[in-house]
Amino acid sequence: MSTGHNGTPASGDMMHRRKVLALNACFLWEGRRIAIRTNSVAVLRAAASADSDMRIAPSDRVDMQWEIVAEIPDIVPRSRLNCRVVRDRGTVYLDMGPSQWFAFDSETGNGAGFVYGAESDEETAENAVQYLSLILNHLKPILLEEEQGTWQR
Amino acid sequence: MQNSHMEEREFVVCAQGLLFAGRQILLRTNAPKIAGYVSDFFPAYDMATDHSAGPAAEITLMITEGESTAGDGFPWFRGRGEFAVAQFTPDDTLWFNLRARRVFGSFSAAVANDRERWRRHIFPTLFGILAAAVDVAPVHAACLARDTGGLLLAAPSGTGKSTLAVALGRRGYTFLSDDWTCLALEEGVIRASGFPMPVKLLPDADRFFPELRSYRTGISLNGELAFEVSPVDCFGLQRVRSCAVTCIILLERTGRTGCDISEIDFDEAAQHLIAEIEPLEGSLAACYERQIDLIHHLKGAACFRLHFDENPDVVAEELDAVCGPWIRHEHRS
Repeated sequence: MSTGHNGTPASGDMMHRRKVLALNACFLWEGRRIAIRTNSVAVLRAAASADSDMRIAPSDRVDMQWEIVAEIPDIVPRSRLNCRVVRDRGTVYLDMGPSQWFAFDSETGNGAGFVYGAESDEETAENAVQYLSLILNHLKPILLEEEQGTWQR
Repeated sequence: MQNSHMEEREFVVCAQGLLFAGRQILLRTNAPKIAGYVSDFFPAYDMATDHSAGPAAEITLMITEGESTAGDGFPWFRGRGEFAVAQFTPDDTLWFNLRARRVFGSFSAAVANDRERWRRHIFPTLFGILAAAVDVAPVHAACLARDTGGLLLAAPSGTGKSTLAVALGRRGYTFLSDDWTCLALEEGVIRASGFPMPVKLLPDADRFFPELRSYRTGISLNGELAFEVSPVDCFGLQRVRSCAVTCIILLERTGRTGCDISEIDFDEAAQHLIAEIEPLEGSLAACYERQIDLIHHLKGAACFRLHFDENPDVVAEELDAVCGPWIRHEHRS
Protein backbone atom coordinates (compact mmCIF):
# COMPACT_ATOMS: atom_id res chain seq x y z
CA MET A 1 0.00 0.00 0.00
CA SER A 2 1.10 3.46 -0.62
CA THR A 3 1.96 4.79 2.79
CA GLY A 4 4.34 7.55 1.76
CA HIS A 5 2.48 10.77 2.28
CA ASN A 6 4.54 12.46 -0.44
CA GLY A 7 3.08 10.05 -2.97
CA THR A 8 6.06 7.78 -3.39
CA PRO A 9 4.98 4.22 -2.79
CA ALA A 10 7.49 1.58 -1.82
CA SER A 11 10.30 4.10 -1.70
CA GLY A 12 12.44 2.11 0.69
CA ASP A 13 11.42 3.35 4.10
CA MET A 14 7.85 4.54 3.74
CA MET A 15 7.13 4.84 7.44
CA HIS A 16 10.60 6.04 8.47
CA ARG A 17 11.03 2.77 10.38
CA ARG A 18 14.71 2.37 9.69
CA LYS A 19 16.08 5.76 10.64
CA VAL A 20 19.49 5.13 12.23
CA LEU A 21 19.51 5.73 15.99
CA ALA A 22 23.19 6.05 16.87
CA LEU A 23 22.87 7.48 20.38
CA ASN A 24 21.93 5.53 23.46
CA ALA A 25 21.93 5.78 27.21
CA CYS A 26 20.50 3.85 30.11
CA PHE A 27 18.42 5.38 32.91
CA LEU A 28 17.08 4.16 36.22
CA TRP A 29 13.47 5.23 36.75
CA GLU A 30 10.92 3.93 39.22
CA GLY A 31 13.20 0.99 39.96
CA ARG A 32 13.44 -0.02 36.29
CA ARG A 33 16.31 0.37 33.88
CA ILE A 34 15.33 1.92 30.58
CA ALA A 35 17.67 1.86 27.57
CA ILE A 36 16.85 4.74 25.24
CA ARG A 37 18.12 4.77 21.66
CA THR A 38 17.67 7.93 19.66
CA ASN A 39 19.15 10.13 16.95
CA SER A 40 18.93 13.27 19.11
CA VAL A 41 21.20 14.50 21.89
CA ALA A 42 18.26 16.64 23.03
CA VAL A 43 16.20 13.51 23.74
CA LEU A 44 18.89 12.00 25.98
CA ARG A 45 19.40 15.31 27.80
CA ALA A 46 15.64 15.63 28.20
CA ALA A 47 15.39 12.10 29.59
CA ALA A 48 17.89 13.00 32.27
CA SER A 49 15.89 16.04 33.33
CA ALA A 50 12.27 15.15 32.56
CA ASP A 51 11.58 13.52 35.92
CA SER A 52 13.29 14.02 39.24
CA ASP A 53 13.47 10.24 39.75
CA MET A 54 15.36 9.64 36.51
CA ARG A 55 19.06 8.77 36.94
CA ILE A 56 21.79 7.71 34.54
CA ALA A 57 22.45 3.98 35.09
CA PRO A 58 24.80 1.29 33.84
CA SER A 59 23.52 -0.59 30.81
CA ASP A 60 24.59 -4.11 31.79
CA ARG A 61 20.96 -5.16 32.11
CA VAL A 62 17.81 -3.34 31.06
CA ASP A 63 14.11 -3.79 31.82
CA MET A 64 12.75 -1.66 29.01
CA GLN A 65 14.01 -0.64 25.57
CA TRP A 66 12.73 2.55 24.05
CA GLU A 67 13.49 3.99 20.62
CA ILE A 68 12.72 7.66 20.01
CA VAL A 69 13.15 9.20 16.58
CA ALA A 70 13.51 12.96 16.32
CA GLU A 71 12.65 14.49 12.98
CA ILE A 72 11.75 17.86 11.58
CA PRO A 73 8.21 17.38 10.34
CA ASP A 74 6.52 18.84 7.29
CA ILE A 75 3.90 20.38 9.55
CA VAL A 76 4.73 22.34 12.68
CA PRO A 77 2.93 20.89 15.71
CA ARG A 78 0.47 22.89 17.77
CA SER A 79 2.21 25.30 20.11
CA ARG A 80 0.93 23.54 23.24
CA LEU A 81 1.14 19.78 23.54
CA ASN A 82 -2.20 18.02 23.78
CA CYS A 83 -1.85 14.50 25.07
CA ARG A 84 -4.44 11.89 24.32
CA VAL A 85 -3.98 8.50 25.97
CA VAL A 86 -5.27 5.33 24.36
CA ARG A 87 -5.05 2.00 26.19
CA ASP A 88 -5.55 -1.21 24.26
CA ARG A 89 -4.97 -4.19 26.56
CA GLY A 90 -1.27 -4.13 27.42
CA THR A 91 -0.37 -1.32 25.04
CA VAL A 92 -0.48 2.37 25.82
CA TYR A 93 -0.46 4.93 23.01
CA LEU A 94 0.25 8.59 23.70
CA ASP A 95 -0.89 10.87 20.92
CA MET A 96 0.84 14.22 21.31
CA GLY A 97 -0.52 15.94 18.25
CA PRO A 98 0.75 15.91 14.67
CA SER A 99 4.25 14.45 14.31
CA GLN A 100 4.52 13.26 17.92
CA TRP A 101 3.55 9.99 19.53
CA PHE A 102 4.84 7.29 21.82
CA ALA A 103 3.70 3.68 22.21
CA PHE A 104 4.54 1.33 25.07
CA ASP A 105 3.96 -2.41 25.36
CA SER A 106 3.83 -3.37 29.04
CA GLU A 107 4.29 -7.03 28.20
CA THR A 108 7.73 -6.55 26.62
CA GLY A 109 8.78 -3.18 28.06
CA ASN A 110 9.37 -2.00 24.52
CA GLY A 111 8.50 1.56 23.63
CA ALA A 112 8.89 3.67 20.52
CA GLY A 113 7.87 7.02 19.22
CA PHE A 114 8.55 10.11 17.18
CA VAL A 115 9.30 13.56 18.55
CA TYR A 116 9.34 16.92 16.86
CA GLY A 117 12.86 18.22 16.24
CA ALA A 118 12.81 21.93 15.53
CA GLU A 119 15.21 24.04 13.50
CA SER A 120 16.48 25.72 16.66
CA ASP A 121 18.30 23.73 19.36
CA GLU A 122 16.50 25.63 22.09
CA GLU A 123 13.05 24.77 20.76
CA THR A 124 14.07 21.14 20.17
CA ALA A 125 15.35 20.84 23.74
CA GLU A 126 12.25 22.43 25.23
CA ASN A 127 9.93 20.20 23.24
CA ALA A 128 11.94 17.06 24.05
CA VAL A 129 11.61 17.77 27.78
CA GLN A 130 7.84 18.23 27.44
CA TYR A 131 7.58 15.05 25.35
CA LEU A 132 9.57 12.92 27.80
CA SER A 133 7.75 14.42 30.80
CA LEU A 134 4.40 13.48 29.28
CA ILE A 135 5.57 9.93 28.65
CA LEU A 136 6.89 9.47 32.17
CA ASN A 137 3.85 11.13 33.79
CA HIS A 138 1.47 8.85 31.95
CA LEU A 139 3.45 5.64 32.31
CA LYS A 140 4.12 6.05 36.03
CA PRO A 141 0.57 5.22 37.21
CA ILE A 142 0.27 2.48 34.60
CA LEU A 143 3.44 0.77 35.79
CA LEU A 144 2.23 1.14 39.35
CA GLU A 145 -1.08 -0.49 38.40
CA GLU A 146 0.84 -3.30 36.80
CA GLU A 147 2.95 -3.81 39.92
CA GLN A 148 -0.19 -3.93 42.04
CA GLY A 149 -1.86 -6.29 39.60
CA THR A 150 -4.73 -3.93 38.79
CA TRP A 151 -3.73 -3.39 35.16
CA GLN A 152 -6.42 -4.89 32.93
CA ARG A 153 -4.96 -6.65 29.93
CA MET B 1 -1.81 20.87 28.82
CA GLN B 2 -4.97 18.97 27.86
CA ASN B 3 -5.28 15.28 28.46
CA SER B 4 -7.93 12.83 27.40
CA HIS B 5 -8.20 9.10 27.88
CA MET B 6 -10.01 6.33 26.12
CA GLU B 7 -10.11 2.63 26.70
CA GLU B 8 -11.47 -0.11 24.51
CA ARG B 9 -13.30 -1.96 27.27
CA GLU B 10 -15.53 1.04 27.97
CA PHE B 11 -17.37 1.12 24.69
CA VAL B 12 -17.40 -1.99 22.50
CA VAL B 13 -20.97 -2.80 21.49
CA CYS B 14 -20.49 -5.23 18.62
CA ALA B 15 -17.95 -7.76 17.50
CA GLN B 16 -17.74 -9.66 14.25
CA GLY B 17 -15.35 -11.83 12.31
CA LEU B 18 -13.98 -10.90 8.90
CA LEU B 19 -11.64 -12.63 6.49
CA PHE B 20 -8.62 -10.74 5.18
CA ALA B 21 -6.58 -12.75 2.66
CA GLY B 22 -7.97 -15.89 4.28
CA ARG B 23 -6.99 -14.72 7.79
CA GLN B 24 -9.62 -14.57 10.51
CA ILE B 25 -9.73 -11.11 12.02
CA LEU B 26 -11.88 -10.07 14.97
CA LEU B 27 -13.35 -6.58 14.68
CA ARG B 28 -14.85 -4.79 17.67
CA THR B 29 -16.49 -1.41 17.51
CA ASN B 30 -18.94 0.93 19.19
CA ALA B 31 -20.46 1.81 15.81
CA PRO B 32 -22.76 -0.66 14.01
CA LYS B 33 -22.20 1.47 10.90
CA ILE B 34 -18.51 0.48 10.82
CA ALA B 35 -19.46 -3.16 11.25
CA GLY B 36 -21.72 -2.65 8.21
CA TYR B 37 -18.86 -1.30 6.09
CA VAL B 38 -16.77 -4.31 7.02
CA SER B 39 -19.56 -6.65 5.96
CA ASP B 40 -19.80 -4.82 2.61
CA PHE B 41 -16.08 -5.05 1.87
CA PHE B 42 -14.83 -8.28 3.44
CA PRO B 43 -16.16 -11.84 3.63
CA ALA B 44 -17.41 -12.72 7.10
CA TYR B 45 -16.52 -15.67 9.29
CA ASP B 46 -18.74 -16.94 12.03
CA MET B 47 -16.91 -16.69 15.33
CA ALA B 48 -19.61 -18.69 17.09
CA THR B 49 -19.13 -21.79 14.95
CA ASP B 50 -15.40 -21.51 14.32
CA HIS B 51 -13.45 -23.39 16.96
CA SER B 52 -9.95 -22.88 15.59
CA ALA B 53 -7.11 -21.29 17.49
CA GLY B 54 -8.71 -17.84 17.50
CA PRO B 55 -8.37 -14.74 15.36
CA ALA B 56 -5.08 -13.91 13.68
CA ALA B 57 -5.51 -10.29 14.76
CA GLU B 58 -7.90 -8.04 16.65
CA ILE B 59 -9.05 -4.62 15.51
CA THR B 60 -10.92 -2.20 17.76
CA LEU B 61 -12.48 0.86 16.12
CA MET B 62 -13.92 3.57 18.32
CA ILE B 63 -16.06 6.40 17.02
CA THR B 64 -16.01 9.54 19.16
CA GLU B 65 -18.52 12.36 19.25
CA GLY B 66 -16.01 15.08 18.43
CA GLU B 67 -15.64 16.87 15.12
CA SER B 68 -12.91 16.02 12.65
CA THR B 69 -10.53 18.96 12.34
CA ALA B 70 -8.74 19.64 9.11
CA GLY B 71 -4.96 19.80 9.01
CA ASP B 72 -2.12 19.98 6.52
CA GLY B 73 0.30 17.12 5.97
CA PHE B 74 -2.20 14.27 6.29
CA PRO B 75 -2.32 11.35 5.91
CA TRP B 76 0.79 10.81 8.04
CA PHE B 77 2.34 7.39 8.64
CA ARG B 78 5.18 6.41 10.95
CA GLY B 79 6.42 3.15 12.42
CA ARG B 80 9.16 1.99 14.77
CA GLY B 81 9.75 -1.47 16.18
CA GLU B 82 6.44 -3.25 16.52
CA PHE B 83 4.47 -0.02 16.65
CA ALA B 84 2.94 2.06 13.87
CA VAL B 85 0.61 5.02 13.57
CA ALA B 86 -1.56 6.13 10.66
CA GLN B 87 -3.15 9.57 11.05
CA PHE B 88 -5.76 10.63 8.52
CA THR B 89 -6.58 13.92 10.28
CA PRO B 90 -5.54 15.18 13.73
CA ASP B 91 -8.65 13.39 15.09
CA ASP B 92 -8.69 10.21 13.03
CA THR B 93 -5.94 7.74 13.88
CA LEU B 94 -5.05 4.05 13.71
CA TRP B 95 -2.56 2.62 16.25
CA PHE B 96 -0.80 -0.68 15.66
CA ASN B 97 1.02 -3.10 17.94
CA LEU B 98 2.12 -5.60 15.29
CA ARG B 99 3.80 -7.94 17.78
CA ALA B 100 0.50 -8.29 19.62
CA ARG B 101 -1.39 -8.24 16.29
CA ARG B 102 -3.74 -5.59 17.63
CA VAL B 103 -5.01 -2.40 16.01
CA PHE B 104 -6.84 0.39 17.79
CA GLY B 105 -8.56 3.13 15.81
CA SER B 106 -10.18 6.32 17.00
CA PHE B 107 -12.33 8.21 14.50
CA SER B 108 -14.62 11.21 14.47
CA ALA B 109 -18.30 10.85 13.64
CA ALA B 110 -17.73 12.76 10.38
CA VAL B 111 -15.20 10.24 9.12
CA ALA B 112 -17.30 7.35 10.45
CA ASN B 113 -20.13 8.50 8.19
CA ASP B 114 -17.90 8.62 5.10
CA ARG B 115 -18.23 5.09 3.70
CA GLU B 116 -16.07 5.81 0.64
CA ARG B 117 -13.22 7.03 2.80
CA TRP B 118 -13.19 3.71 4.62
CA ARG B 119 -13.17 1.86 1.31
CA ARG B 120 -10.55 3.99 -0.43
CA HIS B 121 -8.20 5.03 2.38
CA ILE B 122 -8.78 3.61 5.82
CA PHE B 123 -9.27 -0.13 5.20
CA PRO B 124 -6.41 -0.37 2.65
CA THR B 125 -4.06 1.45 5.04
CA LEU B 126 -5.17 -0.61 8.03
CA PHE B 127 -4.75 -3.97 6.31
CA GLY B 128 -1.66 -2.88 4.40
CA ILE B 129 0.16 -2.16 7.66
CA LEU B 130 -1.28 -5.17 9.51
CA ALA B 131 -0.47 -7.58 6.64
CA ALA B 132 3.08 -8.52 7.70
CA ALA B 133 1.92 -9.45 11.21
CA VAL B 134 -0.60 -11.98 9.87
CA ASP B 135 1.70 -13.54 7.25
CA VAL B 136 0.29 -11.72 4.26
CA ALA B 137 2.58 -10.12 1.64
CA PRO B 138 1.21 -7.06 -0.14
CA VAL B 139 2.90 -6.67 -3.55
CA HIS B 140 2.74 -3.68 -5.86
CA ALA B 141 0.87 -5.44 -8.65
CA ALA B 142 -2.48 -5.55 -10.37
CA CYS B 143 -4.16 -8.94 -10.48
CA LEU B 144 -6.68 -10.53 -12.85
CA ALA B 145 -8.21 -13.98 -12.84
CA ARG B 146 -9.17 -16.28 -15.70
CA ASP B 147 -10.74 -19.70 -15.21
CA THR B 148 -8.75 -21.33 -12.39
CA GLY B 149 -5.63 -19.16 -12.80
CA GLY B 150 -4.58 -15.60 -12.32
CA LEU B 151 -1.87 -13.16 -13.39
CA LEU B 152 0.03 -10.52 -11.50
CA LEU B 153 0.99 -7.35 -13.39
CA ALA B 154 3.91 -5.97 -11.37
CA ALA B 155 5.30 -2.50 -11.95
CA PRO B 156 6.02 0.80 -10.23
CA SER B 157 3.34 3.50 -10.10
CA GLY B 158 2.72 5.27 -13.38
CA THR B 159 3.69 2.32 -15.59
CA GLY B 160 0.14 1.52 -16.66
CA LYS B 161 -0.96 -1.38 -14.43
CA SER B 162 -4.47 -0.01 -13.95
CA THR B 163 -4.99 0.84 -17.60
CA LEU B 164 -3.83 -2.61 -18.70
CA ALA B 165 -5.91 -4.27 -15.98
CA VAL B 166 -9.05 -2.57 -17.29
CA ALA B 167 -8.17 -3.49 -20.89
CA LEU B 168 -7.69 -7.14 -19.86
CA GLY B 169 -10.96 -6.96 -17.93
CA ARG B 170 -12.70 -5.92 -21.13
CA ARG B 171 -11.21 -9.01 -22.82
CA GLY B 172 -12.93 -11.32 -20.35
CA TYR B 173 -10.47 -11.41 -17.45
CA THR B 174 -11.99 -11.00 -13.99
CA PHE B 175 -10.74 -7.97 -12.09
CA LEU B 176 -9.17 -8.48 -8.66
CA SER B 177 -6.99 -5.40 -8.04
CA ASP B 178 -5.21 -2.68 -9.99
CA ASP B 179 -2.44 -1.51 -7.64
CA TRP B 180 -1.80 -3.63 -4.54
CA THR B 181 -2.41 -7.36 -4.26
CA CYS B 182 -2.13 -9.42 -1.08
CA LEU B 183 -0.49 -12.84 -1.28
CA ALA B 184 -1.10 -15.45 1.39
CA LEU B 185 -0.72 -19.18 1.80
CA GLU B 186 -4.09 -20.90 2.02
CA GLU B 187 -4.20 -24.69 2.33
CA GLY B 188 -0.69 -24.97 0.87
CA VAL B 189 -1.36 -22.77 -2.14
CA ILE B 190 -0.55 -19.09 -2.62
CA ARG B 191 -3.68 -17.09 -3.32
CA ALA B 192 -4.00 -13.47 -4.31
CA SER B 193 -6.65 -11.22 -2.84
CA GLY B 194 -7.48 -7.57 -3.25
CA PHE B 195 -8.92 -4.67 -1.35
CA PRO B 196 -12.44 -3.50 -2.17
CA MET B 197 -11.07 -0.38 -3.76
CA PRO B 198 -12.02 1.53 -6.89
CA VAL B 199 -9.67 1.31 -9.87
CA LYS B 200 -7.40 4.37 -10.09
CA LEU B 201 -6.72 5.80 -13.54
CA LEU B 202 -4.74 8.93 -14.37
CA PRO B 203 -6.66 11.79 -16.03
CA ASP B 204 -5.37 10.97 -19.54
CA ALA B 205 -6.87 7.46 -19.38
CA ASP B 206 -10.08 8.87 -20.86
CA ARG B 207 -8.28 8.71 -24.23
CA PHE B 208 -8.67 4.93 -24.10
CA PHE B 209 -11.76 4.65 -21.96
CA PRO B 210 -14.46 7.18 -23.01
CA GLU B 211 -16.65 5.83 -20.17
CA LEU B 212 -14.50 7.93 -17.82
CA ARG B 213 -15.74 11.19 -19.33
CA SER B 214 -18.88 11.06 -17.24
CA TYR B 215 -16.79 10.87 -14.04
CA ARG B 216 -14.76 13.54 -12.26
CA THR B 217 -11.14 13.27 -11.18
CA GLY B 218 -10.22 13.73 -7.52
CA ILE B 219 -7.20 13.67 -5.23
CA SER B 220 -6.26 10.10 -4.33
CA LEU B 221 -4.62 8.91 -1.08
CA ASN B 222 -1.09 9.48 -2.40
CA GLY B 223 -1.94 12.98 -3.58
CA GLU B 224 -2.28 12.20 -7.30
CA LEU B 225 -5.11 13.62 -9.39
CA ALA B 226 -6.95 10.58 -10.74
CA PHE B 227 -10.24 8.97 -11.65
CA GLU B 228 -11.24 6.51 -8.93
CA VAL B 229 -14.13 4.47 -10.27
CA SER B 230 -15.78 1.15 -9.67
CA PRO B 231 -14.52 -1.30 -12.32
CA VAL B 232 -17.94 -2.96 -12.19
CA ASP B 233 -20.10 0.15 -12.53
CA CYS B 234 -17.87 2.11 -14.92
CA PHE B 235 -16.62 -0.65 -17.22
CA GLY B 236 -19.01 -3.52 -16.53
CA LEU B 237 -16.13 -5.79 -15.41
CA GLN B 238 -16.55 -8.89 -13.29
CA ARG B 239 -14.84 -8.70 -9.90
CA VAL B 240 -13.43 -11.55 -7.80
CA ARG B 241 -12.12 -11.52 -4.22
CA SER B 242 -9.31 -14.03 -4.62
CA CYS B 243 -7.60 -16.30 -7.13
CA ALA B 244 -4.58 -18.56 -7.59
CA VAL B 245 -1.46 -17.02 -9.17
CA THR B 246 -0.26 -18.86 -12.27
CA CYS B 247 1.50 -16.10 -14.19
CA ILE B 248 3.69 -13.10 -13.24
CA ILE B 249 4.30 -10.26 -15.70
CA LEU B 250 6.85 -7.51 -15.03
CA LEU B 251 5.78 -4.37 -16.89
CA GLU B 252 8.23 -1.84 -18.34
CA ARG B 253 7.45 1.26 -20.35
CA THR B 254 9.89 1.64 -23.22
CA GLY B 255 9.11 5.03 -24.76
CA ARG B 256 8.93 3.50 -28.25
CA THR B 257 5.74 2.29 -29.84
CA GLY B 258 5.16 -1.45 -29.71
CA CYS B 259 4.85 -4.39 -27.41
CA ASP B 260 7.43 -7.07 -26.68
CA ILE B 261 6.87 -10.06 -24.39
CA SER B 262 9.72 -12.34 -23.33
CA GLU B 263 9.86 -15.23 -20.87
CA ILE B 264 12.06 -14.70 -17.79
CA ASP B 265 13.31 -16.85 -14.89
CA PHE B 266 11.18 -17.14 -11.79
CA ASP B 267 14.10 -15.78 -9.71
CA GLU B 268 14.06 -12.53 -11.67
CA ALA B 269 10.33 -12.08 -11.11
CA ALA B 270 10.64 -13.06 -7.45
CA GLN B 271 13.42 -10.54 -6.86
CA HIS B 272 11.22 -7.81 -8.30
CA LEU B 273 8.31 -8.70 -5.98
CA ILE B 274 10.57 -9.08 -2.94
CA ALA B 275 12.09 -5.64 -3.55
CA GLU B 276 8.60 -4.16 -3.17
CA ILE B 277 8.10 -5.59 0.33
CA GLU B 278 9.10 -3.30 3.15
CA PRO B 279 11.94 -4.85 5.17
CA LEU B 280 11.08 -5.21 8.85
CA GLU B 281 13.63 -5.55 11.61
CA GLY B 282 13.87 -6.41 15.28
CA SER B 283 10.82 -8.16 16.68
CA LEU B 284 9.19 -8.11 13.22
CA ALA B 285 12.16 -9.60 11.31
CA ALA B 286 10.55 -13.05 11.34
CA CYS B 287 7.39 -11.59 9.76
CA TYR B 288 9.48 -10.19 6.93
CA GLU B 289 11.22 -13.55 6.43
CA ARG B 290 7.85 -15.27 6.16
CA GLN B 291 6.73 -12.72 3.57
CA ILE B 292 9.82 -13.55 1.49
CA ASP B 293 8.96 -17.26 1.81
CA LEU B 294 5.49 -16.52 0.45
CA ILE B 295 6.99 -15.07 -2.72
CA HIS B 296 9.15 -18.17 -3.19
CA HIS B 297 6.01 -20.29 -2.96
CA LEU B 298 5.01 -18.78 -6.32
CA LYS B 299 7.71 -20.90 -8.03
CA GLY B 300 5.98 -22.75 -10.82
CA ALA B 301 4.20 -19.66 -12.09
CA ALA B 302 5.05 -18.68 -15.68
CA CYS B 303 7.04 -15.42 -15.69
CA PHE B 304 7.34 -12.81 -18.44
CA ARG B 305 8.68 -9.33 -18.99
CA LEU B 306 6.51 -7.01 -21.05
CA HIS B 307 8.09 -3.95 -22.69
CA PHE B 308 5.41 -1.70 -24.13
CA ASP B 309 4.27 1.72 -25.18
CA GLU B 310 1.05 1.08 -27.01
CA ASN B 311 -2.72 1.38 -26.83
CA PRO B 312 -3.78 -0.77 -23.82
CA ASP B 313 -6.27 -2.76 -25.90
CA VAL B 314 -3.47 -3.80 -28.28
CA VAL B 315 -1.18 -4.72 -25.38
CA ALA B 316 -3.98 -6.68 -23.70
CA GLU B 317 -4.61 -8.63 -26.91
CA GLU B 318 -0.93 -9.57 -27.31
CA LEU B 319 -0.56 -10.39 -23.63
CA ASP B 320 -3.63 -12.62 -23.78
CA ALA B 321 -2.28 -14.41 -26.85
CA VAL B 322 1.10 -15.17 -25.23
CA CYS B 323 0.21 -15.59 -21.56
CA GLY B 324 -3.44 -16.66 -21.75
CA PRO B 325 -2.65 -20.37 -22.19
CA TRP B 326 -0.37 -20.27 -19.13
CA ILE B 327 -3.02 -18.53 -17.04
CA ARG B 328 -5.66 -21.01 -18.13
CA HIS B 329 -3.23 -23.93 -17.56
CA GLU B 330 -3.64 -24.91 -21.26
CA HIS B 331 0.11 -24.62 -21.85
CA ARG B 332 0.98 -27.48 -19.53
CA SER B 333 -1.99 -29.74 -20.19
